[in-house]
Amino acid sequence: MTLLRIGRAMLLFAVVLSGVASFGDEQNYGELQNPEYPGVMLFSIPYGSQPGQVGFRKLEHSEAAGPSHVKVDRHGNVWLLSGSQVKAFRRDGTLLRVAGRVTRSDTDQAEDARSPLEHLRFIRKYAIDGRGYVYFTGDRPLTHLFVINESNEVVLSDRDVYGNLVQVRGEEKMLWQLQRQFGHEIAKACIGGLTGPLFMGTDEADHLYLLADAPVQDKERSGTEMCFYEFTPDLEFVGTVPGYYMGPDGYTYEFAAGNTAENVRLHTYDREGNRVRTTRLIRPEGPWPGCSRPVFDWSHNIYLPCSSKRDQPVAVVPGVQIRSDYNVYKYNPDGELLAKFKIPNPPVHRGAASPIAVDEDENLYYLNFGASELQVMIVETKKYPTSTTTP
Amino acid sequence: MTNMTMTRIGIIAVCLLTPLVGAAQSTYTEQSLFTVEYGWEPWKIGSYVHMLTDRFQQGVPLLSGILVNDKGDVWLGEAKDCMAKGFTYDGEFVRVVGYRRLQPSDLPHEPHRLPPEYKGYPWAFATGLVDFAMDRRGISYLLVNPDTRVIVFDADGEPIQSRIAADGLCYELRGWEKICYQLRQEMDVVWPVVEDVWCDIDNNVYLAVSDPSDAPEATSQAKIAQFSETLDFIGWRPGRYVGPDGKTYGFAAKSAERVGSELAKFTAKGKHMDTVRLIPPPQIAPTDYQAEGGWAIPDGVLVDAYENVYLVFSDPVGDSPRTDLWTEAQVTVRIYKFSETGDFITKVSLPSVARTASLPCVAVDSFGDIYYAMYRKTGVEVHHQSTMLRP
Repeated sequence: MTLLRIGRAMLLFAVVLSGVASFGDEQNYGELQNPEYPGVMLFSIPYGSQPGQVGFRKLEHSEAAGPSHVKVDRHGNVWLLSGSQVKAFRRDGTLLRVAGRVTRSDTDQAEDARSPLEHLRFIRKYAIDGRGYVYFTGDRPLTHLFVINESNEVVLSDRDVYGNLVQVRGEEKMLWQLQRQFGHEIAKACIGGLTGPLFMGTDEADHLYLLADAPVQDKERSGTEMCFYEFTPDLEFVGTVPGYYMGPDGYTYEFAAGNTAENVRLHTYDREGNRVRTTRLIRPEGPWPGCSRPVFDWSHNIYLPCSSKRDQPVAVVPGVQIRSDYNVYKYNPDGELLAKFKIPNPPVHRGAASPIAVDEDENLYYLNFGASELQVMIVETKKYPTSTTTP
Repeated sequence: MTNMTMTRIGIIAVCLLTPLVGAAQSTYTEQSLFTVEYGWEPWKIGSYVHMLTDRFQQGVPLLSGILVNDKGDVWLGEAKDCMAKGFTYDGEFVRVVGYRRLQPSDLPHEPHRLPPEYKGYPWAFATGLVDFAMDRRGISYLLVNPDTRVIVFDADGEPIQSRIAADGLCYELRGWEKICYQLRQEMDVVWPVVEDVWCDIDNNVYLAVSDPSDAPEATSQAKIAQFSETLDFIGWRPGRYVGPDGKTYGFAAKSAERVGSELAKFTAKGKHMDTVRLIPPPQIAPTDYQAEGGWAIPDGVLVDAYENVYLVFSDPVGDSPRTDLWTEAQVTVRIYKFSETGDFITKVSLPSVARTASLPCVAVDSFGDIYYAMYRKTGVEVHHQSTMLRP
C-alpha cells in the first residue's frame, strides 16, 4: 500500500512537471540570454574504497552504490554518498569525516560485528544537519533509519541489563512517537519498513523532516497524499507539515496543476505549515520530458533540474551515469526564470533525491564523472544576471 | 424459581448482611482447606522433599506469599522458582503463572554483555519471587528479584511484553518495561526499587517504591505509585499500604511515643480522609504490641472490603534447640483487627504460619476471612478462618 502511494505521488509529480514540459510551442514565455552557464571544478576525488576516495573500481558494485547525492552543510563542506558510507570533504578536497559502516582492522572485526551497522550494505538516502548529525536509511527491506551523532556513533536507546528501555533515543524515539500518534502503518512508512521515508532533509534549525504517507486525517482535510513529519534536534515530534519539497529555512513546497496548460503552480508553506505564496512557473524553452527533485535556497529561489530527453542511465566506473542532457533552471520566488545551468552526465540520483545542491551563497553544486576521479562542480549562480528572461 | 430470581435474592441477602459483617464482633472458625503436595510439577509446590530440606537448612523460604482473589481462588507464590500457583477453594489446581523455564535464548550470550539484538525477556535472570498481586481480569503482577522487577502476565499466563517491530525496534511499551520507563521518568532514577505490589477492584495497580537515589530529597520511605489498568502512571499516593478499593493507609509518625498508633486513610485519589487512633483493648497486655509506648510497626497491614484493618505481627516459633526443619520455617502470628473507625474488634493468634522473606504467609479476602499457609512434611497446608457470617 505504501509503495503504491509513493508511486502515485511520484507519478503525480511527473505528470505535473510533464505538464510544465508540454507547454505549447506557439507561445514563448521566456528567452534565456545565455542558456548554458558553465560550472567549474571545486575539487576532485579519486575513485576507490580508501577513506579519501569514493566509488568502486568494479562495475557490479558501482551499479548499486556509486557516488551520488551531493549535499553541502552550513559550514560549506561537501558531502557525498558512496556505498555504505557518507563522506564529508572540505572545499579543498581533503577528507573531513566518514559516517556509516566503517571497515575496521582485523583485530576490530569482532567489535565491528556488534555494530548496528553490521548488516548495512548500501545507503539509500541521507540527510545532514549543522551539528554534524547524519541520518540515513539502508537498502534492505525493513531497513532502519540510522541516526549518527557528531562523534560517528549510532544514537541508540539506553537499555538496562535486562533490555528494558531506560531512555528512548534515535530512530526508536521517532518510531515510538509516530506509532503513538498515527499508528503503526505511518510509523513504519516514516521509519524503516519496506521503503522508509521517501525523502529526508534538515533545516537551519537542525529540525529533521521525513517525507512519507500523510496521516488519514491530513488526507481527508487537504487531499494530500504525502507530507513531512518534523522532528526537533532531540527528535521530539513537532507535527506534520504539508509539502513535497523543502528548503533550508524549513519552508516547504508543493507543485500543483496550473490554471492553463502553459504553467504550473508552486505552493509555498512557512514553518507553521501556512501557505504563504503560490507561484506560477512558466516553462523554459524547448521540450522538457524529465525532471528531478528541485532544491531551494534561503531566498526561496527554485532550482529545477530537468533533462531534455529521456535516456536509460549507463553503468560506468565508478557509478551509474545519466547520459541525458541535464539542465538546472533557476527561478526566483515570483516564478521568473533567471538562468539555466548545464549539468553534463550527472550520476543517477536514486529514490527521490536531487542531483544538485545549493548553499547559502546560492552556489550550485553537482557531480561529474571524470575518467579516474569524481569531480565536484560548482556554479556561482549569483554572478549571473538576476533576470535573464524577457517576458 | 428461576435462576434470575435466585440471583436477585442472593444479591439482596448479601446487601442486607453486608453491614452486619463489618459491624458484628467477628468470630473466627478454623478450617483446613487443602494440602498442596511438594513436587516440581505445576500442580504441586516447591520441589522434592529432600531438596526442600536443603533449602530450609539454608534458611530459604519456599513460599513468598498467599493471595485470595475475588473468585475465592487461593494463590501461593513460590519464592525461588518465581511462580504463582492457583487453587480453588477445594484445592483443585487452576493454573500456574510464570511457569516457564528459562531457555538458552532467554539469556545473554555472554555474561555482563548483551548482544545488540537483545531486547529483554521479562523473566530473564529472575531469581526469586518477592510478592505478587492479581487484578479482577486475571492479570498477574509478580515482583521478582533481582532488581525488584514486576513481571506482568496476562490472564492466560503469558508474559506481557512491549511490542517490537520486525526490525527489533520497540514501538509500544507494555508490561514492566512500560511501568519501569514511567517510574524512571517520574523519579529520575535508573533503578526504581519496588517493595510491594497491590491491585484494586478497578484493576489499578499500586507499587510501593523506595527512592534509592542519593539526592537530598530522597527518602528511604517507600511511596506508592498508582497505575491505571493499562499501566499508565496516574500519580503518587500517600501512605504505605493499599486497600482493595484503592484507598491507601499509612501510620502517622508525629511523635516517637505514638509511632504506629495512628493510621491515616487516604482516598484512591490521594486525598486525606481520616486519621484513626488504634486503641488497644484493656485485656491485651501492652507488651503484646507496644514499642516505646505505642504500637510497634507491624510486619504487615491488611485491609478488607469493609475497610477493617488487620495488623499482622509475627514471632519465631519457640526457641532452640530446633529439631524440625518444617517447624523452624514457620512463625507464630498475631493479628489485631480494627474497624474502619479504629475500634478494636478481635485478636487472632495463629500458632504456625509459613515464613516468607517478608510478611508471613497470611491474607484476608474481601469479607475479612483469614487465609494462611503452613509447611507440613508432605506439602503445604492452606488454612482458613472464616467468620460465621460469611455468605
